Amino acid sequence: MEIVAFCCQWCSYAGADLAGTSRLKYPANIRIIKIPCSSRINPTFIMRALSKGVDGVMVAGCHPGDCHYSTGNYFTRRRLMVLKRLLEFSGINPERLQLYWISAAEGGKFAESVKDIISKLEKIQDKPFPKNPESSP
Amino acid sequence: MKNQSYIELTAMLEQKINQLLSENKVDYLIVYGKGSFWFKTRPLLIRKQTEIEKVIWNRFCQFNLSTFLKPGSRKGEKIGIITKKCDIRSVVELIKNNQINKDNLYIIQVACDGIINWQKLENLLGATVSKVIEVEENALNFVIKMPETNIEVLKNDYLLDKCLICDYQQSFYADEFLITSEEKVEEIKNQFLPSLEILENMSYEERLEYWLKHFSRCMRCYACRNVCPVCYCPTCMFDSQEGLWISKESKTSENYVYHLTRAFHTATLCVECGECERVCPVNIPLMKLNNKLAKEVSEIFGYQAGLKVDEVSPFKTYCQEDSDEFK
Repeated sequence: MEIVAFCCQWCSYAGADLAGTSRLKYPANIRIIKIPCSSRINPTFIMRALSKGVDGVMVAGCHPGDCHYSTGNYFTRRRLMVLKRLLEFSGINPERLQLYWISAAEGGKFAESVKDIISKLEKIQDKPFPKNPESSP
Repeated sequence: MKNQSYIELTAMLEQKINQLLSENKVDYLIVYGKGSFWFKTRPLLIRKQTEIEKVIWNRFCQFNLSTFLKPGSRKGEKIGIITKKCDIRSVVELIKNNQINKDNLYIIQVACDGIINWQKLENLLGATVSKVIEVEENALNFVIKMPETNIEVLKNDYLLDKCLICDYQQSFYADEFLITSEEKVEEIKNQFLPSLEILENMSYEERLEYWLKHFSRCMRCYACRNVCPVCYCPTCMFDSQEGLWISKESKTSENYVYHLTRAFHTATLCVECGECERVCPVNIPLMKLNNKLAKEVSEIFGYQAGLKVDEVSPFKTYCQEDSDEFK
């Protein structure tokens, strides 16, 4: 299983750092991409990742109200609410997209979130876009 | 087509255009002209009074002319445009997003009783529309004149889907509203619309199969993007040379990303004019995606595109009290 995590550099990436320095254990299926703010997420990032064969996408940002740029994550929330419904309508299980609010002090929550998304994805059977292009539809 | 109110409206339209051009109120007008067949129309730009006779108005004027207002095609000239009630919403959307200056625009709204969907007619006849000699109409029915027979069909069954829920009122943003003296606006509101429910009730796998089946036909001609009145980016991200968002090969998964991205980009802008679906050479039901998104946006944010110039699109603003459905 492969998961792409988009982590905002001010909160969630620092949270992931803290999880590492606190030696917390979390599944190794995750590939973290650092982004300046969770609102830097272009919905196409997520769709592209899914179409290239990852199992799930995790977006992590500062808690609402705590954004480094004051309001960035409010925009993210609005966009991802609509994107989630679009993915659902076009046949991708919306559980494949998860958004978490993780602050820089929440190393534990970061590890929990990774476990959470893995447990959710394990319940989903089929994969819309297999990684191997030969067998893709 | 012999319909008294449409003949009358065409005359009024010609008169109005003549007046606008002679008073130099506009530099040119975007109107409907005669197409290659009697049942086809095409967009036409007219600059001279001598060209006025080319203007037509009938039940086949289905384009959304506001596509030609997109920034690439204007140079600060004063433009007159003919719109139906539905098209005016995309003009509003262009004004709202600062793509066109309202002062340079003269909007003529023409009363419209609905546009004939000639694909539905073809399905009924089992033959091409070019076999039809004429379509006449009475209060409730269309009379389709074929070489041998006349077929009478209920109007509502052969109009575009969007016409069934249209309310035909004058838009607040129209500079001029042309309507015939004997006001016989037919009551065809609140019709049943082919809904999204069938798709919504499917399982994820069935829906994915449905969309992949359609997207596998896509050859990425980008007609849907080019015709869309609200796809106004100077350089589309799919044309951008800085980083290839999707590969150039026409693969189903890439087509999937393209169509979903396009649907998402127009999510709060789409006025559901149906142009993308009309131009699609392989008949992908794109309006299902757009309708679904418009429905969701109105459910979540209570926003409908193209109604007011001073409204703010929900993606351009935020609200701390938004429901937090994520953790």
